[in-house]
Amino acid sequence: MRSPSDPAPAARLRGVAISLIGLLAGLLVWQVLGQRDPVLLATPVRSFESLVSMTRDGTLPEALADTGMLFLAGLVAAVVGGVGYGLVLSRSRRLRTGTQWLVFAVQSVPIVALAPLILAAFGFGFGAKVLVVFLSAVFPILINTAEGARHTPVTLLEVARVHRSGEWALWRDVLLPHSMPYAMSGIRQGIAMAFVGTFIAEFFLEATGIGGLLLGASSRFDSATVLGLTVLVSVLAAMLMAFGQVLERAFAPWREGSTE
Amino acid sequence: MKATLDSGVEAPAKAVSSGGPSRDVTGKLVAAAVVLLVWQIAGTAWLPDYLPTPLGVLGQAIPTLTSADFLGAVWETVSAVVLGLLLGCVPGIVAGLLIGRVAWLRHLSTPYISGLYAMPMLAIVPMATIWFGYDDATRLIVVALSAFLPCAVSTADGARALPGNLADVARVLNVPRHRFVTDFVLPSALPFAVAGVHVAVGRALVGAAAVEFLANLDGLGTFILTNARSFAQDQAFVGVAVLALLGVLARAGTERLVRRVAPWQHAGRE
Repeated sequence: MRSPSDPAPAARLRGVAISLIGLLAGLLVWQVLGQRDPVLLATPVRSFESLVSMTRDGTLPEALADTGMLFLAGLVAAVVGGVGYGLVLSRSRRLRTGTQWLVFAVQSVPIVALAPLILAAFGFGFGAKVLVVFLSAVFPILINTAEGARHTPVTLLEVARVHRSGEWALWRDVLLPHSMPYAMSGIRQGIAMAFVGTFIAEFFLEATGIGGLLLGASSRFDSATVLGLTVLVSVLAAMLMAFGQVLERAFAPWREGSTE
Repeated sequence: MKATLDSGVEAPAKAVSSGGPSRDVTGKLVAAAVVLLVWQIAGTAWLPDYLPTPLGVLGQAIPTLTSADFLGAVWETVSAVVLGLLLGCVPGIVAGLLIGRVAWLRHLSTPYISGLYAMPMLAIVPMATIWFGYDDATRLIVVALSAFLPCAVSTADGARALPGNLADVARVLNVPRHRFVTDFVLPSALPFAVAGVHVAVGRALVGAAAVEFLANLDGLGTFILTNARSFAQDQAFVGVAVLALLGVLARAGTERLVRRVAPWQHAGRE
């Protein structure tokens, strides 16, 4: 999504300026339209006021904390499980051929559709919600890590074996560093998927956090709050995406020389 | 963005080198048997008995798949998804071409496109239900929007990826503007556009199911939800499996399309 060659600073500045003008124009149009039809489309000013008042009475920070906890817990579980099992897969051919097709099969099940079944089986507690986030995020991480571990140079593995390296040392010094850049691509995708999973959990298991606020406001036809929260969610999502890209790029140089 | 998710597919071919294909098959069978057995035993022994079990799902598969209720629900969802894909992908590809080639348009739209693209489409549904009501229009619009964004983003990438020296050649040869678009920009953007559709198909199906859940519309999503709620989990599971299968089939279709329109796109990988 980035241009292959960065344009000159002047051109870039102009680009940013045009983007800002576009945003301002959008806000202006929104305000004008909102004043014309205040029921359906609240103005940006009113949406902002609604966010501010929710911040004042503590509902918004509390919801943000709820959502953040759920997101983090699910993501951490997915990273640990995905990277761990991905590396295990690279060590055992039998497990790989035996379970990889299962992974692909399970991965193709949309988690949204699974939500009612998870609700029935595990209820709507924190654990069940974390499970939804975990399932949403784990597969790209697992698949990318397994792919990366397979790219570990065979020579290195052989040298390690010749020197009678233990399994733990092999993981720490050879497998993990070599799969890291691939795992990071998976984690970047996993971050985005975990965010989606968080909303699946909050919409379909138990209406808590930002998702709960959104649903509540929507059923009250409170378009100011819904719009404000929707914009907030999109900003959060864009920030998470940018963070994921930074993470991936930070580890990308490790990829150099790791191809056989 | 890249279809990294598909990259493990070629693993079985590699594993043939030692052990032979027969051991692979036994490995797979063993894994499948273990999963099914654990599921069945856990389902009958510990978990509440209304949860789906492999035998229960198997028993319900044929009656469910042939019931008028189910077929009606599948038709509702699939027709909405196909229509939504058309309404989303065609404008998405056109917009992507424009965004990719016209710099000021790109700058103008970047905040909106990237904000919406990053956002879970699920979070749009509450707003959409206020605007368009709890009916088919909401589903259509959410599906179309979920399809529009990946198509636009991917096609824009493709339109921008036109090699600089090719653009220079076109300028030196004084290629007319419309020929430049049809002979240079379109061929370079086409595989990206199809890749966008590839992503769009999956998102569209999920988006449709999500709207059906929230707005209680007739369709596969609601079929799953009502059955799950009325303790007919086996039927619900059949619905989930069919939804997954639809996604797999649709993605396999677009995958083949990518290979047809851009064979070089895959030749480079492994």
